[in-house]
Amino acid sequence: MGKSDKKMILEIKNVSKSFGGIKALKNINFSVKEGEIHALIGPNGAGKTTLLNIISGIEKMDSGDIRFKNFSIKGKPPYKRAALGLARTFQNLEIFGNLKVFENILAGLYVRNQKGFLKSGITLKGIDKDLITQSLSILEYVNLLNKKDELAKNLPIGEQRLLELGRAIATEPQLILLDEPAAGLNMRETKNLSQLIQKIRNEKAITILIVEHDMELVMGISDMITVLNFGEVIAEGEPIMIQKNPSVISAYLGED
Amino acid sequence: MSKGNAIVLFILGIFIIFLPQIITDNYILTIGIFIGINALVAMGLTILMGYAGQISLGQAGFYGLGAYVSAILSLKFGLPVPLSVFIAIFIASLIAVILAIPSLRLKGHYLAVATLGFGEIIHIILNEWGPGGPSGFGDIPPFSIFGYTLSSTGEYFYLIWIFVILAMTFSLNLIHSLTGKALRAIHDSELASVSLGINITKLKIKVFVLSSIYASLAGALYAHYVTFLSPSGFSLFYSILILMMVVIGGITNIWGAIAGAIIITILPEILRGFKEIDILIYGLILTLCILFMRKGIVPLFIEIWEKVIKK
Repeated sequence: MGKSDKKMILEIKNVSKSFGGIKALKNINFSVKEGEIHALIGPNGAGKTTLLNIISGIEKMDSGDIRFKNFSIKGKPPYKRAALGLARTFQNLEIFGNLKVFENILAGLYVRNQKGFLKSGITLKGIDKDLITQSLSILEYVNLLNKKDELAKNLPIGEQRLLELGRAIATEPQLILLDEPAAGLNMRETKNLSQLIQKIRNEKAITILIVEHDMELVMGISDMITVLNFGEVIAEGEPIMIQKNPSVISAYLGED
Repeated sequence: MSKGNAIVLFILGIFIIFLPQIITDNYILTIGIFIGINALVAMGLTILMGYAGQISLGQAGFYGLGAYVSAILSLKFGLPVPLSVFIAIFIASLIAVILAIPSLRLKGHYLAVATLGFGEIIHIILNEWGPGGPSGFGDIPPFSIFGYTLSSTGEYFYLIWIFVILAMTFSLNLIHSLTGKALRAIHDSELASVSLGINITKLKIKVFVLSSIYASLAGALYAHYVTFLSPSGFSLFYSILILMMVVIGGITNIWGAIAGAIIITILPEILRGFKEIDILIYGLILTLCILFMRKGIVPLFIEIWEKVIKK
């Protein structure tokens, strides 16, 4: 199986979460292997986005533990998780609309290159040329270099998704959480996105945890898939196994 | 700082140096001093509103705190003026931290409510316990440094505007730094900002403290310039006045603070000729400004300028 030759970068242990009386997540357990593209799928309302929010620290879990690079990040605020190397994108795009495209990337570079408030106020020369160059090379990487001076809010959705991805890369993460990156994209854009995700994993050695509804995309790029339904893990395995799994098929088709 | 800003700042500096040489009318220089004082306070609020996305309705509180603390320390305790100014700023920024920590950890405009309360508390304290109560007190030592005491209006004009230009330089540097980008990012999406590793609470607190430093510095300079203080100048009305300068000047551009300060300070002087209806015209002009220049004057001018250049 070769399961032991790679380390787990992210471990979800007995995570539960309720909203009022509704149990959104019940005792979730799964792990993401370093260097893999791991997909989290399931019907609407299965708890996928809730789980991503808990991993990135935006929502708090009721019980359980999350370990990132072998350290518990339970209770750590989101900005500290990002500093540890955990980045994410958003299903409902959260770009900085009034900033230019390259400035969005600069905001991503902040976490590794910040200088402190006072020092920023007394430094005359502004942002290091080196950082500007870095932001442009990231834009080139996600194919947005020709849009660098546009206001981010004027980009079409497909390019805004690429920008979020570029901004996440700028934080130099070891793991990126992608929340439905293909939503609102046409077929050609989706194909480009899937190539980009693979490129990021292969060239930058960044692990990917992706929540996605586009099954063609998921099956095409994932090494491992975890299936959620009604807040529970109902299956886990490689794409080919998941496609044949009867409980997954019934969860998606609503059969019993 | 960008080249364009450096040039504008340089021109402003030259203008400030030569103005008292050309104009000897103390009335105009006095207005210039008040523009500078107001600009200093407005600058802090512009960064807070336009870059950190928070509103303060209590800048008059910091302004009053700076004025009273510095005046009392130098008058009653005989401290040298620069030292008492420094202590006044220190106390104001300490209070800003205490005020900011609980209100900025929460999402939403809790800071606006907290500062509104703070401003009123300071106003009441000055009224009840300030020297002379509501009628105030005088004989505050004039500004002096290294044994030299400032006396003429021109000298005070220089003093105030040196601080305005220093504060402007600091603000421009900050805005055009990586931290400045992070601040604007917070304004657009707090969710994305924290996910990128930006400690938004800490940054917002720092910006708020900066705004309190500018306001209390302005207050202290004011106290040693007029040498007489009474609580009436430090009410909610002054906070609203500063808010108006920021909005009319344009919250998205730090130069808006100076433009707004010029307009709001000069307008009542110009309207003096209208006698009883001056407040009516004042209100009308402000309403028209808000209706037709939502972004504020400076951003509007930049927009027009860019259109002209493209043609």
